[in-house]
Amino acid sequence: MSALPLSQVAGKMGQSGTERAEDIATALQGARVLVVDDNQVNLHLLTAILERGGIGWVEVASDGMQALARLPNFDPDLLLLDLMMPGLDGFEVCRRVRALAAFRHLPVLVQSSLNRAEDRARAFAAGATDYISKPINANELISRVRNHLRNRILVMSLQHYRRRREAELNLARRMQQRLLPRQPQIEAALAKGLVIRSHFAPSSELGGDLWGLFTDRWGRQAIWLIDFSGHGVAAALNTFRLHVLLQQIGAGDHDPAGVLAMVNRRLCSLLPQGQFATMLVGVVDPEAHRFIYATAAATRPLVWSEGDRVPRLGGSAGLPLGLTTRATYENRELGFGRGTSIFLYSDAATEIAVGNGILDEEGFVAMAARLLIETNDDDLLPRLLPELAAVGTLDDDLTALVIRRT
Amino acid sequence: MTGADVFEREIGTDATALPIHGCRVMVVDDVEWNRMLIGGMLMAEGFHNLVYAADGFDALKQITEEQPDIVLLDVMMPGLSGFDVCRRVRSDPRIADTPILVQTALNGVDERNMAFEVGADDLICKPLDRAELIARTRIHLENRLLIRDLRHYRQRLEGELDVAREMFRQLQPGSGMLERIVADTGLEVRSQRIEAAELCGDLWGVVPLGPQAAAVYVIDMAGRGLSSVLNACRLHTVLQELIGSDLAPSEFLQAVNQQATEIFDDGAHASMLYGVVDMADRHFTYAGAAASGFLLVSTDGSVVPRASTGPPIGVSAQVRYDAVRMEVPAGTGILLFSNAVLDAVGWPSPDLGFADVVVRAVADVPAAGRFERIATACAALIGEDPADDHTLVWIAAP
Repeated sequence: MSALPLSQVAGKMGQSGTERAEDIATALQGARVLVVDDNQVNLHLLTAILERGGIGWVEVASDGMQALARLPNFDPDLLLLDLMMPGLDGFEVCRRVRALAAFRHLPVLVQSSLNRAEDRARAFAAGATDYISKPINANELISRVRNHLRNRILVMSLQHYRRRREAELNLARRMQQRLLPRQPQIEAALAKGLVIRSHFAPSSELGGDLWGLFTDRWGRQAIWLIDFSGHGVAAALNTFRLHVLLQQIGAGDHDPAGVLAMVNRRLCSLLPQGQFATMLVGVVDPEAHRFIYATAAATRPLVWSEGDRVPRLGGSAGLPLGLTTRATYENRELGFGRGTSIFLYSDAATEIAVGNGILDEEGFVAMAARLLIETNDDDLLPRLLPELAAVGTLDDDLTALVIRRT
Repeated sequence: MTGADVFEREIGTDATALPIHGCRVMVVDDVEWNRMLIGGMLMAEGFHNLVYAADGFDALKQITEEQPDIVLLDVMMPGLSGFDVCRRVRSDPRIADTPILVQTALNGVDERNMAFEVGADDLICKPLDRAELIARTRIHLENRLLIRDLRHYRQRLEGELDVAREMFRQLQPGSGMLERIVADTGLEVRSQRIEAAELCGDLWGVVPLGPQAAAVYVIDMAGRGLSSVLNACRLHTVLQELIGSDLAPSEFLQAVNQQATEIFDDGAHASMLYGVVDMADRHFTYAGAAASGFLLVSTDGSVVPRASTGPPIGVSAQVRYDAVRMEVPAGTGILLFSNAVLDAVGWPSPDLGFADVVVRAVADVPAAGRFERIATACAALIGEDPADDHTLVWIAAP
């Protein structure tokens, strides 16, 4: 009975995300080693040593061409390679193996009676992983082979784990992307005279930020931005729940403060202890030239009109969502005539570590204000984001929205 | 496709692109000239994070404190030899995986064997050849960085998924909630849940509707993994809104299905059983989507399987579900379950097979002790590492 191939055992380890010693031992038993030597006595000797050392599957090749021909089908986990061979020598085999994409990381253990330092250096330069001198010391050979194989098992299993998780997270990330407004919604807003530009960047695969658009029952464009505490998978779960929630409560039937109150009541029972969210909901009243909004501890909106030297800062108040059902929210207003823009953002932008402190709201607003003057709305986000990145590492999700009334 | 192909693609970035030059390299040698020589070779290659130790004790202390990424270790040193250092490093879990490259003037077989026996990763002979020293150091460091990055990734993901799992767990009724329901309704409500190692979006819930009455649901999401949990979270939000309403079970399931069809991402679907137990007039009214069923366990120990056959939820908004209203005599237990037990029983007849399991479990057991027996039998059936979440819900009017 032959043991499971090393790669399969490593795959199983990657599936469970474990590194148990008994699994590593099992994987070693299924390892395949290709021994290359032009001397039959050596081939027998090396094979015997490897088999005695518990290597499950040893095949031999007696010259370089044969070795290269055996590679794709045998698919070894390690190549034990003699240097001095007629025809293709070990150096050349090594170089050719490394040139094959599939075997670039195959451990190549060179064995040779060439014992000058420059021979060893040449072997390493040709791509050898390791070098062992003849006459072969059985213990040393087995120790080295096992070290390389153990490494391979570990790397393979960890990479299997990573690949699997990445696939899972990619799927989830695409699902989260689909929660964001799609082109028809953005175009519908445009038809109402609103140009919306957005940037949505989770700090890892998934994020706890989300924004969206809806139309209220008076036909006015509403926009919202939420930022759940934490980031990563758990915070992302909450964005999916919120997305459903807003559909459920019929957000369009309520004013911004009313939407926040309803969302808050539900999040109080939905969110586990210790989790919360900040949110802004706003609606554009085109006739009164107002942006009517309510916030639950969200960052303060920035408003500016063409030609302004300094943006205005809207107010923000209210408790974060999900903490207490007694929280109340109030509607606020900002003048929002034609040619005016509003900037909304999640608080990652004001929590970048700078030296011993952080880039706080004041610092961020100053940065945004300078850019507003220097540039037009089209370029604001493309210029602001690299500047933020230059300040420091964002370790939270970042969402930024610019809404301009034409 | 060969295993090596897969391996290659998994590696992604070329190992030679790893930032090995920032790695901390420790040089241990009792001869100052040798330390300088080795340090000089390393620096000439761009390694700039070097630490030195002049004897074995100094080396051990610094390995613990400085956590080097590799140790280039001399063997013949006064006091603690290189071999002793090696042994001690390997027996200290905090530093045991530090790569150790033993450099020695000794070329004898015994010494080489000894080096590997005490746990050295590699040997290099004096006089040191610069190219060989650099090549060996580089290979060990590349490996170490690769494995470290991959382990960090795994650690981060496991952490994130654990939090998500715990959040998802909190969507299901806990023991406190069950006690409250028992107090409010007078019904006996019990549950068992055995989670798979992978995230699965299986969900259940119970809501008191008054004395002797409660609504109960068991949902089995198709598929596995994060996406299935995300969809289950959405479904849970829908249920939270609907469950207080006085929709009859067929209407309830229809409403859930309509919303699910809207919010589920393509292909996602679920089986679901929703029912209202009203022990005041001794009836259970239920509607089911896809392969969902339950068992009625009578006072005499007989067991009747009930299956529902509606289409799965989340596929088409047009689907209609019919409700079944059935009498439930006093002392009868209603046993709802997710598909895991059926998979465990296997073919040819999972429903009847599981019913048999329950019959055997409750034989000669008074009503009050039946759930424990069934749960024990299910646990044995499911095993410790199920491929799917297992949910068992028991409702009875004592």
